Order: sequence, then structure tokens, then C-alpha cells
Amino acid sequence: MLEINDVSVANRLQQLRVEIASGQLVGVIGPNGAGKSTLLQALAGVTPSSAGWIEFNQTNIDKCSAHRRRQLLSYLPQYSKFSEPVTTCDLLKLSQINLQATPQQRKDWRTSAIAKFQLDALRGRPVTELSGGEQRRVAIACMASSNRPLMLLDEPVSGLDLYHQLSTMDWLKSCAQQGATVLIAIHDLALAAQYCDHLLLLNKGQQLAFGSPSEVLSDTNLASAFQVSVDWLCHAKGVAMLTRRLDN
Amino acid sequence: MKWVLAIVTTLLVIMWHLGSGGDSWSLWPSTSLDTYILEQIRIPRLLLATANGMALGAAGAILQLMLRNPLAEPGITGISGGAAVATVGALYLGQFNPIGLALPFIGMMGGLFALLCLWLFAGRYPQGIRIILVGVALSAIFGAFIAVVLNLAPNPFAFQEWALWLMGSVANRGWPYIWLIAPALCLSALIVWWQRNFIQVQVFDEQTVETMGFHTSRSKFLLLLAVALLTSASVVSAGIIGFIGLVAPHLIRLLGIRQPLAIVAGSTFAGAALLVGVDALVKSIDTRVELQLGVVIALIGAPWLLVLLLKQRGSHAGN
Amino acid sequence: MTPWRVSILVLLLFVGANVQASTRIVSLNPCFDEWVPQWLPSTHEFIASDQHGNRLERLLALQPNVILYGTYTNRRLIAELKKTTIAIEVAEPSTWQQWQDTLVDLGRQLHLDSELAQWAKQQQQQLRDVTVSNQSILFVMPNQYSWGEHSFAVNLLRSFGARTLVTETQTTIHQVTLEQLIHTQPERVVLDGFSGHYARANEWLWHNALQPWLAKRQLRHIPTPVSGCPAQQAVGFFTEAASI
Repeated sequence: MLEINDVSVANRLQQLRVEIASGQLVGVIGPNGAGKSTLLQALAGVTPSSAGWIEFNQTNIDKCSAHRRRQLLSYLPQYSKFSEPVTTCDLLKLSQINLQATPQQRKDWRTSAIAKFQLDALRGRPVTELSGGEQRRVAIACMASSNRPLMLLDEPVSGLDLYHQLSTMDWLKSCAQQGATVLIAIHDLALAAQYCDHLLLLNKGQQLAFGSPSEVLSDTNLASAFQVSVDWLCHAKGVAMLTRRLDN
Repeated sequence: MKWVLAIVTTLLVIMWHLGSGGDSWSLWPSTSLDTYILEQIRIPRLLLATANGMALGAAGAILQLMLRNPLAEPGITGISGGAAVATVGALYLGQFNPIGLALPFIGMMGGLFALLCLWLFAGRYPQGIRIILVGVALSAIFGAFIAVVLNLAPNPFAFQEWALWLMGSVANRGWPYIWLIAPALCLSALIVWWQRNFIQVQVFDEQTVETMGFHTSRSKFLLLLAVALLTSASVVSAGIIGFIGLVAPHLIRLLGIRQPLAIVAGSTFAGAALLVGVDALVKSIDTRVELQLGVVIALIGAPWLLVLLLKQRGSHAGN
Repeated sequence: MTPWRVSILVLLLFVGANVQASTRIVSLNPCFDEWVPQWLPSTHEFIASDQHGNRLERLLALQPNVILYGTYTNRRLIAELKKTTIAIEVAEPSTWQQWQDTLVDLGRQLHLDSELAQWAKQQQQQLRDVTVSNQSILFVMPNQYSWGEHSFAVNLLRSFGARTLVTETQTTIHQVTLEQLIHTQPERVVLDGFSGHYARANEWLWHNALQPWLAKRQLRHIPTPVSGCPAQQAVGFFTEAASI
């Protein structure tokens, strides 16, 4: 259970109060500058909150030690970048530093991450020489190989090709089904509607709605947050949307 | 193969260094005076060159990793200059002895001040050329300050030592100077070993590192302290020697070492081999006045910097 | 001619009357400050180099009739001063004979031939009075320098019967390597011009290899003020370096 209690971040986020049960995939949506990244950063402990507190499984994660927080959560920033040309394989190992896990567990997590994100061909290649999308996949694989109960991903699928967008979302869904709490900032509302258990709609640093996708993606919410109107094309195999600007 | 070549080269360079200095190259002492020269002049000089190379190589590597900028280096960024201003001030205006053990720590304050200036003017993660621009400005300011301090010094001839501070050398210094730099090396090695995991995760971006379970502000401070201490100990014992901190990590990367901690360790040894090699060259070139080590290294290192800048421009164009 | 230069000339004309009363000699070199008053008659006025700090405007304001400058004085400064006054060079000698010639020459230019000849005779007498040691002498200077055979220091010592060693014969001054130095075996080492305020230049004095070498030899120190003016202070220089 992740409890966000009246959390504020100076000028960027105001008194957010949400409770998220374990085993859920929650999409954080909203227009540019709504505070999506700020919220994830505050949860990850990268940006200090100016008020309120955050509790995850009875641990106050904005007050506990960095080492304890490391055991609870993993975080993927919006722009991840690697600064030394280490190989993909070595990078995955480095991403497990400070985790309390046996060498066997670490190895298993790495192996499954490599399989899941089809990194076999990239194993021996220096990460700085990979393409942008490949680097993003490697960064997500780093999260997969740390395997924490609270996962925070800032726009994980942007920059990925369609196949890997879907495989990433599938993986996140499966993590949630295995009990992890997963929060992702996401711009693609169709993907969000299709995969997420709950959506949190932010606008100008404030919480506009929280609930199931069908509740949150109402015409009024979309109109006030995004100034768009949407026609939904729902199909058993997925969701698509037709969008129009309201001021047209 | 690369490794065998590197080790053999290093050994040859050491032999070359130990054997030169007299009228002709000779390693094995035949008279008691030769033994005395080997033990009291050549070995301390070799060790001082080694220690300086280690300090500068390690400082350069740590700085490059911490700032995530392959162009960072204590000399180019003005950290050496800051350390030199503090040292020169303490030496010529204060009552310090040139081999006083407190000097490296006084120099360290100057180095930290330079780091603070760098941080204020270039930003926390100065990209590419910006660090060079700010570093050039800082170096110029500190160079001028050294001149001012020497101008104001009680000794009217002190100013003649200006060039000796700006262009370092390890000639004519014996064991006392090794005791000056050795504590800084040991202390920094301890810090690096303690913070080895933090160094390793410097491949990731800053925000990711924040969530990897480190006391980040403490770790960063400790490592920058180590950089300042290493640089200052080198400046105190030899004067400013630039470019070793730039060239050594790149040599190590060329050898195929990629992991941050390995880069730091490798640069420590590459820096030492490089500096000993250049010093051997300086000893062997027969000029009227022995060349300053710093001059010869700048002659090698500055073109290297240009090549790196050219490569960087190429990669920007590619993107 | 620029207006300010005209005004300076006008100014000089106005004060011309005073100048004729006594010749004003201004020194541009600290070496002359103690030396000139030793032979200058009281009809002349002398202004030492610390009064103007070799700044052009201050020098002009002092209205000198004659300025005395040394070999290493800034040439641009001399060129400017020569426009308004007489500048006489007191060259740095490299032999004892040159120094005698310089003194005669200076006496002629200042019309003080007898005063300078008197002083030169006195200096020579004082040098002869020094009891010379028979030890072999080697000069060691800051920044690893030593005097060569063409230097005034070596020539002075040899002219008055002291035994000096040189590490290089064909030079005035040269750098010595530590190893070269250890190989020479002088009985006496003259530390010429070392000062506590140096840091880098004194490196040798801290070197572990040099300490025992120096300890085995007789040491003499020539303080910086004497060391900088070996000709004018030849008596002090010689006594310190070569006396028993």
C-alpha cells in the first residue's frame, strides 16, 4: 500500500492525497507541466517534498535512510543517460549495487531482464554507442534487474518502437500482477486506458481525478485538463482514440 | 597483448628514468658514490614522479566521472591553480617551510575554493566546452593571483619563481617531498576505496544515482575532497603539472577499460607511467638548462586536448 | 613634441637655477645606493633608488642632472629618461679589470676622476688585506646555478689569490645538476644569495642527498644584498667567500 498524504512540492505540486493498493499499475497523466515528473521524483526521494509524508508498506519513505529506500523502490528518470561506455551486461550488474540480494537472485533477475527486453544482441556492446531507443530499453532492463516492490517510471515508453512499447507495458502489468506497486507517467492515453488499473490525472500541480480509467478519462476531465475531446474506439484487443482540439 | 605491451613499456620507462641523470646512461652503480646517487637522488626522484603521476591521474579520472565530462582535469579546470595560490600565499607571506606537512592541506583549501568557483560559474554538470571556458578563466585568475602574491612577497626575487609554480618539475627534490605527497595519496586511496560503489554507479545519470541508496551529498563531498587533496599535494611537491589528469584516463579507455572504478585505478597507474616517462625524457634531453617537466607535458597534452575537442565536435555533428 | 613633454621642459628650465648649485645624481639600481655616497663629494646631491621605485614620472619630478643605471635596467625607461637628462651606465663587470675600467670611465663622465680613483685604490687595498684561505671553493646559487669561469665572482677570487672550482669553464653562469655537484669535491662551498623567503629556488637545501655533502664541507653564506652587487661590495663578497 502506497499512501501519499497531503504531499506538496514547492510551487509544483499541491497537497496531493492518494492511496494506492499493492499490485496495481497506476498511470499518472496530465498535460505538460502538470507535475507528473515532480510527483515521481518526490516519491523517489530525488526532489524533497515541502509538506506531507509518503508511506509505503508502513515505511515512511521520505524520512527513511537512503539505503532502506533503495530496498523499497526503483526509479527511472525521464531522461536517463549513461556517461561511460560500459557494456550492457556490466551496466546491469552495476545497476544492482546496494541491493540486498543473493548473487543467485541478482543473476536470475539479470537473465530474465535480458530475455524480456531482447538485449541478447546488445550484451557486449558499449551502452553509449546504442541508439536512443536501445538505451531506453537498457535503462528499463536495469529497473527489471533490480526487481523492487515499488517501481516509479517517468515516461518509460517514449522513444520506444511499437513492439517494445507493448512489451514494456506487458512487463509492467505482469510486475503489478505479481504484487509490485507500479507508477508510470505516461502521455499515450490509449495505452494508459488499455493497461492501467488506475489513473491519476494531474493539472497545474493539483489532483483532478483518481480512479479507474473509465472514470478518469471522462469528457469533462479531458476537456478541462487537455482542452481536447476524444472519441474512443474500444475493441476486445485494445483501445484507440480520435482526438480533436476543443478550440477548433 | 595490449597489456603485455603496456607493462613492458612501463618497466622500460622506469629503467630509462633510473639510468639517466649522469653523463651517460648507467643503471648499475659501480662506485659508492654511484650507489649514493642512485639511493639519494634517482630513486627519490623516480618515486616523486610516480607519486605525482598517480595523484594527478586519479584526480583527473575522479573528476571526469563526477562531472560526467571527459574534458575535466585538475589543471584545465583551475583546481591546481587554486591550490597553488593557497600554497604560494602560505609559503611567501606566512611562516611556512616548503616541506611543512601542513602545506598540502592548506593547498587543499585553495583547490576546494576553485571547485566551488567551477560549480558556481559552470553549473553542476558542465557540458563539453563550457568547463574548458570556465577553467581557462579560473586558471588565468589564479595565475594572476600567484603573480600578485609573489610581487608582494618580502623577497624581491620571489617573483622569479612564478614560472616554477606554473610549470611544475620533480627535479632536485629529495625524500622530504615524498613525505609531503604520500599522506595525501594514502588518505585519498582510503576515500576512493570507501566510496568505490559510489564511483561505480557514476555511469548512471544523477537522478538515478540519487535513488541507488547512497548518502549522495556526503559521497560527492568526500570524492571532491580527495580530488582537491591529491591535486594540492602534487602542486605542493612539484608545482602545477597539467594534462596528466586528462591524458591518463583516456589512455586507459583506449586500452579498453570501461568500468568507472577500473578507470580510476588504471588512470592512477597510467598517470604514473606517463609522468615518469616524460621526466625521463626531460632528464635525457641535453639542454643548457634542464627543461621544466610541466612544459614538456603541456607540449604533449595540449594537442591531445585539441584532438578530444575535435572528436567531440564530430560527435555533435553526428547527432 | 607633445604638450606634456613641452611642459616638462619648461618646468626644467624654471628649476635650472637650483640644479647648477649642486649636481643631482639619481640611482636606478639598489647596488649604487650604498656605494655612491662613499665617494660623492658633498657638493653633489644623491637620491637613492628606493625614492622613486623606477617609475618614470617620479623620476622626472626629481629633476635629476645625471642618472646612473645598471646593465639590467629597463631599456625603455632609459630611452625615455635620456630625452631630458644625462644617463650613465655603470656596467656589470665580468672581470676585475673591467671593473677598474668602469670606475675610471665613470669618474671621467662625472668629472670626479680623483674621487673615484681614490675609492678604487681603497677598495683594492682592502681586498689585499684579506687573509686568503687555501681551500678550493665552489659557488652554489639558488635555482641550481653556479658561477662559471667568465664570471666576475670567479675572476675576482682568482685575481686576489683564492682557489676556485668551476663545473663549466666556458660560461658566465650555468645550471648544475645534483649529480654533477655530488661528483665535485670542493673543500669549501659558498652559498651565494640564498634567502629564507625563497621556496622553489632553495630546493637543493632541502634535498637529502645534498645535506651530508654540505655537512662534509666548510660553508660560507653570502647574503642577498652583497651577492647582488659583487663589484660594489667586492670587499664584503671576497671576505665572505675566500677569507680564512
